Amino acid sequence: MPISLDELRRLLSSDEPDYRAITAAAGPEAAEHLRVLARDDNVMLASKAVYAASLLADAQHVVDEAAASDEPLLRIASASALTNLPEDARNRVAERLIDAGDVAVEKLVIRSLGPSLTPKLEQSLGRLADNSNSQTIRDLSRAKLTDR
Amino acid sequence: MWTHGHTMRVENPAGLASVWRAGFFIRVVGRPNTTNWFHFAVPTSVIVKDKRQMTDSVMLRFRANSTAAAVTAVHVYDGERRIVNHDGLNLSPTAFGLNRFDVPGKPDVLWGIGISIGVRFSGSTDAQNTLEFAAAGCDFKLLETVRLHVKVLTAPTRFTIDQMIAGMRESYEPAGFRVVRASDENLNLPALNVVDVGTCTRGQTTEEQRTLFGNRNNVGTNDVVAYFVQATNPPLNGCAAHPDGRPGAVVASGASRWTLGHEIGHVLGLNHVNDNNRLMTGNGTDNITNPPPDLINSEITTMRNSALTVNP
Repeated sequence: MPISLDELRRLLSSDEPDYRAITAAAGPEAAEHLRVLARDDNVMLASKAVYAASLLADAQHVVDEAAASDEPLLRIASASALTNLPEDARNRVAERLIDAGDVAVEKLVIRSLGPSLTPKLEQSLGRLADNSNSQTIRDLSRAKLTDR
Repeated sequence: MWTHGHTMRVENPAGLASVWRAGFFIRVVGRPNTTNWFHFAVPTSVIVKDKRQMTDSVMLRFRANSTAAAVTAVHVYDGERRIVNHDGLNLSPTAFGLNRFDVPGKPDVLWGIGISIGVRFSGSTDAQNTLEFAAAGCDFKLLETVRLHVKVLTAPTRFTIDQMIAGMRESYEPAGFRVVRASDENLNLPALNVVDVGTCTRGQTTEEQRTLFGNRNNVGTNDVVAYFVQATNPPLNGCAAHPDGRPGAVVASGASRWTLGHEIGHVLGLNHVNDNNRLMTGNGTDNITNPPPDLINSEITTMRNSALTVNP
């Protein structure tokens, strides 16, 4: 039975949503619902929708869109979701997020990256390895460049 | 503990047209278009049978001759410290009843309770500006205590921490638990501002959770800590999974007013329920239908059995 927008909203409204269970219950119709919920005025709900979208193959454009948002929590959700994306899509979104100047986002992006980096990501990692104000980010960036 | 109305002291006697103390009450007549304060000192036994008492609420019995004589504020002091202020009131009962004013947090009483009553006299005649106080009192209680420490990486955005603690108290206090805000600390840990909570499963923690929960300055063994972060990874309102011996929860900046109480409920051993009238609803505390959300008897028993609720 297709999941409705209201049902998806209810499930994501949980303080601690069970993302795997939600996406297991969701069919193809969920992609459009998640796109709507990712624009909800309740940013907490919207950020959960962004993450849930990363777990559905046909909803990953929601993660891409959130990466360009002015809302920090949506960018963070997008960065959290990177690890669920296929590598090509992950690198594409990561390129948009890695230069955001937000330590929390940078941490999530760097940790999500696989061994295959785009030239732009390599360049950004090199810059962060040398110039980030955060020791954590410098260490993560160096390790990622070393491990590739 | 009660005190009779005729013990009341007037802050500004010149603002009154008359004062009459009788066996049954004190009658004050205010001058037109004035305000005044009336003070009651409540005899206070701060320790009874070796137990320090907690301030539950204060009570007032009074009546007004007209709506032009109105109680507009009730402030409660313990010694020199104001422990609650109820402002914006407009009370002009025509008969002696019992007006109760809650003292959130149920603080320990240390030095003696004083109740200050703000009054507005807006009538043009003595009859309109007449108010009679029969008694004032304070209820003291002994409650189990949750000692909560607040550690802030990022302040919440939808509701303030004060509002979240007030919400927690609204659920916990009727169930017999007071929430003492034991300390506040800001933590400058930008790399943990979005904290990895993994699957947020009881008994399982990530390296980042273990690092964050290691910040327990001034926190006792049986105290709980709420870490206010910008977000969790993945996005949750909060997460109560914590390392052994470091009880606490993280609360995200976009959390609801009830998330703090909900997460600490998990820390005290409570599980989700499918009932939006209860604090532990698994359907999201943003969807609470009849606030404040309830704790039921079986949950109260679980909380009492937790080592993290301290007997009075």
